[in-house]
Amino acid sequence: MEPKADNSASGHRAAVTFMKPSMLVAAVFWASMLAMFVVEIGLALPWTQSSSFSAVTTLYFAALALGWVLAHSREHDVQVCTPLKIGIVAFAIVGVPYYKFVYFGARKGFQFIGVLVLCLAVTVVLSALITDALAQ
Amino acid sequence: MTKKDNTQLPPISKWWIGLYCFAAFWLLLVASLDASHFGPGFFPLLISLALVPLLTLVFIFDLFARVIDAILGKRASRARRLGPVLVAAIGLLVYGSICVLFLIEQT
Repeated sequence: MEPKADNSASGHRAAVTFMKPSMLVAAVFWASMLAMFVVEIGLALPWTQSSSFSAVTTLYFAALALGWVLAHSREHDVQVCTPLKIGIVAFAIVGVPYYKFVYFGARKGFQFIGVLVLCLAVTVVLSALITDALAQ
Repeated sequence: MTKKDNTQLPPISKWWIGLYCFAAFWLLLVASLDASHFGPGFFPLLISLALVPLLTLVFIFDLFARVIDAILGKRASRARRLGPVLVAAIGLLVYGSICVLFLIEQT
């Protein structure tokens, strides 16, 4: 049993070095965003138009945003304050860039906003392509 | 334990104060442009429709975070706790006053 446990631990370590936890959360976030764009806007499925779906997706993306901030702060040895965590859950679109600007400075903050805009553009283009492929 | 009770937000940096100054200056510029012969399709006026509410949200968010951080950070010095709150409050007050004056002028 001992060698097996050691192997799995090293495998886990290898996975962590391959992809940081914050990168993993970001990948899940953008994949979910892509899926939501395809289902809600592209295919406009009827069950996605309900308010309960909106509430669930809002909570899901807020949890992912908080998860990303917590993972990122742990990687960079930063202690995020409690009001910022509350603010991120309540209003992630302002809270996450605010975290970058306040803890890492203006340059990193603007870089982060640039990356966000780029990711959003790629997601929108990909969702349009996937929607077209599914419609044919 | 001591670390937990200290304030956790970093102090307000110079560039952040610069952002407050830029926001106030921008608002004054937009107000003066709006009062002049420039039409509503003028670019600085158009971009302000998004920029002014966005900056308001950011400043409200900043003040909220600084106030709660000051309340929770009981072990930190008074200057360290209240200084950032004061800067954020004055910044938001100046920005908000120009917004209100601009809206009163419009109506």
